[in-house]
Amino acid sequence: MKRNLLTVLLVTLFAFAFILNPLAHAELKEGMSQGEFAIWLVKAVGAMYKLPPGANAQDAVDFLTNLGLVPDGDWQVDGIVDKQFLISFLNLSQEEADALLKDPEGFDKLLAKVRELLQSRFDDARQGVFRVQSASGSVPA
Amino acid sequence: MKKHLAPRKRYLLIHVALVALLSLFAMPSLYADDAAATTQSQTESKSSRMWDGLLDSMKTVTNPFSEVSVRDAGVKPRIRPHLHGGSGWNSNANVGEKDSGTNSKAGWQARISPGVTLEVPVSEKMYTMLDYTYSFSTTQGPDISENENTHNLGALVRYDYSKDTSLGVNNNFQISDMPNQAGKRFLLETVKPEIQHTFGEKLRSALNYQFQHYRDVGPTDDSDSSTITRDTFNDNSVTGSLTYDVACKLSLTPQFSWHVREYPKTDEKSYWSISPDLGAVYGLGSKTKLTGHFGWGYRRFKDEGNASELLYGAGINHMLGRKFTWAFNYDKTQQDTFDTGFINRDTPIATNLDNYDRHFRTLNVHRFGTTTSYFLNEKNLFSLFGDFSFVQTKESDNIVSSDENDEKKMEIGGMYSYKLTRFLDLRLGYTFGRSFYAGSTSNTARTQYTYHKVDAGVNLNF
Repeated sequence: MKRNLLTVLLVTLFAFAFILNPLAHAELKEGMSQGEFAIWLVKAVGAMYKLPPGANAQDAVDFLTNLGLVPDGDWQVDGIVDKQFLISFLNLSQEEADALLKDPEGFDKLLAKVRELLQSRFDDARQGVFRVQSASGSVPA
Repeated sequence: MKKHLAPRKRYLLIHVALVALLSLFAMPSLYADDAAATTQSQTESKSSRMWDGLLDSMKTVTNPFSEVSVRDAGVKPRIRPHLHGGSGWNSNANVGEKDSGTNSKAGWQARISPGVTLEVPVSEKMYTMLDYTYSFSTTQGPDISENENTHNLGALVRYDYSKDTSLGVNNNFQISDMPNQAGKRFLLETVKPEIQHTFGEKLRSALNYQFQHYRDVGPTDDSDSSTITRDTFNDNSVTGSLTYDVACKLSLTPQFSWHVREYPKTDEKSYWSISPDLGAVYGLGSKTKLTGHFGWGYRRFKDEGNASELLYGAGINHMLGRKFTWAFNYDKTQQDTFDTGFINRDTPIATNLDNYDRHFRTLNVHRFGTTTSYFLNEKNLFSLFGDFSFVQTKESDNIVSSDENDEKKMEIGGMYSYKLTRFLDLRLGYTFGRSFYAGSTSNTARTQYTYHKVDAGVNLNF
């Protein structure tokens, strides 16, 4: 009976999470702090479980740094995010960078590019390819 | 029979009432926008308005399987199926066996591990995640045949209490077959709540508690009972740390850990320990980070005796341009015979470097590890890695045969990965592993070994 009650509670909680989700919105805008941006970026690629459970902005920055995602001039947790900051992650031609700086929707387009870049690196890392594994010998015999 | 049915009906009614009650809370938010329309159209029936409202509200719910836009990423619910698969040839697939002798048994190894992750950011402040991953691995060769199943359930809840305070809990539960012992399983449960708080601009604190329960099926068919150790344990630890930004590029982190591990069936290994430590991170320019720590580990065993060791480590993480990263780490640690650290790694199966026999109540391990990655572009990744482990033990810490077991092992290799699409990547790898010296052959986790492994794999991740 307790198991049934637990099942119903879990299903109800998840149903509510979906219904109430329109309340969840991040302040994704120019001028947001780099710390907030780092946490959003980690959430956006589904990597929150890689951070400590009570992770703060510095933990997110450390995670991104280990994957080689460092902006020009290093991360400043309280620094602001603007188009130039996002461009510093990417290998863009000067023309492309200039076009995105002038584009009214350039900020969103740059966000998408940085997210894609992290996704490509995180996918590779999550395979555990940096460490070999053996089918046998997981636990001492 | 009736006695069983009555409570079941009662619970069913409770469930229905609970869902109905919770649904009432949702109603105002669903129909808030319809208030004006209600006054204009008096002829509409209440039921039709309810259905319209319900249908309208359903349109705002994101399809959890769809690819989300950049503004919705991380803030809308999402279901991410994932699949990892790989297969390869190993020239010595039985390196984990204690009595493998000098005869290497070559074999094909394969592993497939499908799973699904449910990410639900409940609000701007709360983020939840649930993941289930199943793994099946098999080794097949002329003289070897092994199959292992693993179930891994992970969950995370994180809450931003305020701008400066965040707290969270993660939980990991794993049931896995014991290698070389078909049908016997161990389970490991780990729960870790943590709270972090920032004081002003320069001082950060973290406090976490960890509970682990490991249930060991034990080697029940061992004829020599004197060599049996049953490693079922309960583990409690508390760690607190303060990080102070001394300068723009330098931060110091004093940390203190308290730890108790109880082995109900092998009491000689039970202990409590304390470990004060001072860590430092120094940014040598924006592309290079230096880390280091120095501390002391003290273990007091329940039976008798203690272990006191200086613990230290250093590391460097360097970027060359935007494409090349290099990391090197060295650590001296005080470990248990069964290091449960592997359970939270990307791959939920331990590596060869993590295997020791169970006869020791503590091990001192020096470990060097290095990784180099070159991201040619978003599709091509080349990487190299190397790990070297030097285990030091004391006779007094062997609870069975009072002799040492100093193992020295290494693994080096390389990998190439190609991203075929946004969701699919392929990889090809080579690894060389060697045990330099395995100590007395009467008391080793393994005899000396050498192996070569070539493998290929695929990773599918939505």
